[in-house]
Amino acid sequence: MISLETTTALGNKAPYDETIGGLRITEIAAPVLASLAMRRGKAAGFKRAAANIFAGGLPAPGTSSGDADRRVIWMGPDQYLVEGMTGTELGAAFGAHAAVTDQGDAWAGFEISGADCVAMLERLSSADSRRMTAGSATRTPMHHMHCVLVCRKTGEAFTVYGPRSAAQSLHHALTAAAASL
Amino acid sequence: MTQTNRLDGGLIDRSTPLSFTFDGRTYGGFAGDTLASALVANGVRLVGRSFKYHRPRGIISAGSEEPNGLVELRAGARREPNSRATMTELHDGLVATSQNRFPSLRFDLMAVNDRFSAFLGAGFYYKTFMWPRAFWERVYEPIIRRAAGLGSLSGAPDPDVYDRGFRHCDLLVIGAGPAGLMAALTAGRAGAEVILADEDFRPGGRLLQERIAVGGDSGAVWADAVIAELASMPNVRVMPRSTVIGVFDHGIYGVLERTGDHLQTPAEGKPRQVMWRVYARRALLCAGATERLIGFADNDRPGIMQAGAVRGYVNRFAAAPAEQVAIFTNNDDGHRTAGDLAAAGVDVTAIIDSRPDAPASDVAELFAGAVVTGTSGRLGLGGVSLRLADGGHKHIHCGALAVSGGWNPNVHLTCHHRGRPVWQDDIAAFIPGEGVPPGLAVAGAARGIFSTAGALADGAAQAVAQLDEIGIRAPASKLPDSEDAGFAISPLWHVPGKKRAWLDQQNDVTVKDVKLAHQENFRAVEHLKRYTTLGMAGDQGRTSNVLGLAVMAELTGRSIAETGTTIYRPPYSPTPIAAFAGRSVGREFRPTRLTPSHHWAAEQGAVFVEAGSWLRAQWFPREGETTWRESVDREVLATRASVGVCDVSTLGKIDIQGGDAGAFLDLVYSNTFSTLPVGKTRYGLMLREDGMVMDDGTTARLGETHYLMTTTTANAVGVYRHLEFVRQCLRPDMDVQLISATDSWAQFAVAGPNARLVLQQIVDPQHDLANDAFPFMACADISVCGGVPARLFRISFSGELAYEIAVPSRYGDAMIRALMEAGEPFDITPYGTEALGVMRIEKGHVTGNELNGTITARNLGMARMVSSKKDSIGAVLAGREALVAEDGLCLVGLRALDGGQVMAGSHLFDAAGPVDAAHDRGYVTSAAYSPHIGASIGLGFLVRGAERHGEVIRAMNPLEGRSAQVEICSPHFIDPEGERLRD
Repeated sequence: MISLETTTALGNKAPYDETIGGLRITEIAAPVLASLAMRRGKAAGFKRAAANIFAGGLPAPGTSSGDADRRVIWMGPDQYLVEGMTGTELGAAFGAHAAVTDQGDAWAGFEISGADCVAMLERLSSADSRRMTAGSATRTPMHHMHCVLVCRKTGEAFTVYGPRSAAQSLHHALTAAAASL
Repeated sequence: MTQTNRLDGGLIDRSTPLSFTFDGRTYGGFAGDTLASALVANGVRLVGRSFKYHRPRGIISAGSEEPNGLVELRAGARREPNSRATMTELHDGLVATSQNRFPSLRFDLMAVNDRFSAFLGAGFYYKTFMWPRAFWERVYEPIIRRAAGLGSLSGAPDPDVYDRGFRHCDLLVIGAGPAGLMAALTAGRAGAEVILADEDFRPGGRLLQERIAVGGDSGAVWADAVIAELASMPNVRVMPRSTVIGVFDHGIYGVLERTGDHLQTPAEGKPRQVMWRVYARRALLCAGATERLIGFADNDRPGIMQAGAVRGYVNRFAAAPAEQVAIFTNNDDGHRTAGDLAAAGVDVTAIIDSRPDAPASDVAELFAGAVVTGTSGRLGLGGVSLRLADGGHKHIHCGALAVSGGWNPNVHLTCHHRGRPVWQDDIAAFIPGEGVPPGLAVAGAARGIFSTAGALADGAAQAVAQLDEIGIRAPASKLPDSEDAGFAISPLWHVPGKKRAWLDQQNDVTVKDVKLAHQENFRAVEHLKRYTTLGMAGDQGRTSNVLGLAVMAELTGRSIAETGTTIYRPPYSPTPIAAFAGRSVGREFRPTRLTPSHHWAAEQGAVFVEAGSWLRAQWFPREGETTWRESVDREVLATRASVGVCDVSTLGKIDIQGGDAGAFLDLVYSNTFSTLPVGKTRYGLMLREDGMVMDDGTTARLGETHYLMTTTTANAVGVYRHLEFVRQCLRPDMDVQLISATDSWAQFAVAGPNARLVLQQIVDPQHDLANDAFPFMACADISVCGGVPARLFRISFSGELAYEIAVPSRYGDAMIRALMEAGEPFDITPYGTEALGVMRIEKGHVTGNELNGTITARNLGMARMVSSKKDSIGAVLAGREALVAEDGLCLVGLRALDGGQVMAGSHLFDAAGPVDAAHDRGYVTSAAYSPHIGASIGLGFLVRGAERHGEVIRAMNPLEGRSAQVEICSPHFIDPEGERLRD
């Protein structure tokens, strides 16, 4: 039987990792993400399950909650993106209260770290990355793509998720912005 | 190299000498100079030629309002026309060239226009170039086009990088003069997030140009200290070289930062300019004021400048405009200039003050109540003629004339939401009025507070008030002491006379032109502007507007307040289009989406085509194939003979879950999906509300409450948006959740008689692919290659036995390689979008070409798919009388006879008869060469087409001059019974 090996969103065996000036940009080899949407009429069970799984329960619009292991990011009314759980895990946790779809293969993820993070993100995103604190997350367009920005460490470390099929363009946008500082 | 007019002192760095060229001649300057100040220091007065009359012109101002000192900067592809010398920071090696002259600046043949000025007055082009009519395009237009404009573009792509960016703040302070610095300091000390933007490379505004003490020190020293304190605050960002170009909705400001304009060449990858979008909770406009001139005969000679600009050149740049300078003023400001010149050791030959009660002067001879009636000199000022208070005349020698006609507050940004400035008599100027954009306040000279102490106090007070509105308490800062002189002015707009007196030097508009506009009844300010071009172009009339409408007010006998003013729109200063585009240029104009097999396809030498934002393999050329047709024919034949593989990941995939998912699909599709068994796939037709077909595709039922919809590549986003609209707005009561799964899955079509044999080597053995176990239109969650999760659909676009197999995208690259390996014994052939297109035309499957927005299910021969047993979007309007008429268009196949070629876009006509719109019977939507049929075939829509199979008609393409005899046939060229795909 032929065996299948995975590639990263940029199409390589090993994730991209480069330091440009004071910024390190690293590709996440295999993002662990799943979408979570509340089933209509299942609010009570949905919120109960969320309270059990996510530190801080469900986030308010435009925010996120959770901890370093599992983060739940508001995406729309009763819709969330969950970091740190696969669709299978999340589906098992929510049962019939939620519609869950694995999103690990839908997104390309890049970790950005360094003192110039905010200066770089200012060139890419209208999100106020300067005032984002560790754990805060927001949807934001970057270079015409819908992206999700998560702050890992205030002012110093962020994660950017963008459409996997456009990983090359997102990578170009990130590295060009880093080089332009 | 001698800087003949360079004085002592100033804010230039004499330890850093710089060299630059102007019109090929090398000059010297210092760091801290602008191009304009360096030219002044070198005694260069003539810098350009005027727009229309090609009059010799010199520098007028020391700021962004400059109408005359426009040059071409740099050379080659980096050449930039119409650059203001006053805003150009001098750097070593700077290359500047004068423009709008031929053959040279000193001797310009086009200056002949000046001799014919009587024929070139305002609006001359409305009256001339009328006859003969035949000359309009061939003679007049080329002449006018050649004569129009100032500088010229390089014609080469700009090699530099431009960027965009986004910043947020509590308070945006616009302008770093006394008001702006005090505002930023007050807000910064209160802990607010502050951005202080100033268009100059050195913050300080007028403080750098005056000898006015602030807090016991010079204004420049105080400004430097404030900037140093602001720089130490992490909550304050000082942005020099940054012009706020516009106020947009919701507190958004456009700020152009010139990050690399002061460098010979920006470093690799670094932007020349950055266009910032600043989101400010509140903003404070501290843009200061612009000095206006006075209209008098020949007041445009090089050497005639704003009095305040003369002070700026002397005090800041240590550059005297000439050895002998005269002053012409209608207010106290001229006297301040005389004092500064005298202090710098420059000979002030006269102060001509139009006010009979002018204050005495101890630095120069004063002519109170006198006016300047004319000037002399060829390429620069040689002297001025006066009419004295007693009616006598006098001539005074001077190389420069400093003119002050009063100050106009820079209200421009307050007008960007249609705010109307209002006239204030005591300063004879417009100040911000009603309609200032929400969240924007104005402080200092920009609202008519002209004293330094007044500006400092107002900046601080306005900052406190603005922050208070957003809940930030700012303690009042202690104000430094400074001058608090009043401002005494007796308006004088122009000195009447027979010769031309310039109002707008950039557009060559004179007092006579305004008189002409009045005479021809273009008296409203907006008409005056359009008729004369007063106040248009790069300087937006900053030195000229008020003069023009004051002259009009005089002529109409109305007050200036009644006459009103035109208003301004973004950008405040000329802004390169490149800065708006930022990095979205060339190949990176927009994002590109790559298929999971892209890298593999590139290794095979595939030719790629853009399909929406995707790059798809179009065909895979093999060695020896010389035309694309050879490759495509081979791919089609190989697929139909054995097996082919194609990446179809680009098709839109929408995950639909919920208890009402079936009912939801019944609503959005014209046919029924709630009855579809789990494990089955069905073709669906989606209509718009108006009954036209929106999209088609297959939808699989993966579970009781779980469907997966497939859309066409082109409509993936549109369909998703439509479904969201239906879910959120039309049926919010339904239990339905949607999410895009397009990027999640790498999906490959495996088609051809040997498709099953190939897949059996990939699919894990517990999944039975036999025809009975997994029949046509089956679908299943399976595993492949030893446990990798996958989805298998038995659907066919090609008409062959075919499957689509999907794996998570991370396995996409491996999957195509696995399929190629497994298919090797069967000569598996990768095929691209061209072969895909040929096979679907052969099979009669429709796609975007057919679903063109004007086509109904009935036109497609699918009327029965619009279920009458349930309601669905579009079902009612699809039944409109005209749409169900018997003579409607009908999808047909077309086969070219006698080796002819069917062309998409051709229209269909009967075998005989006229070829015109009245006899049009339909059109061709898709065409291809079918290697299976051995002829050119196509699909199209034909009136009563279903009844006409077998007839021969004409497909005409008058645009290309082509026609073909075509036989009407079934759209199913191969396997019309559908036996192959069920095999």
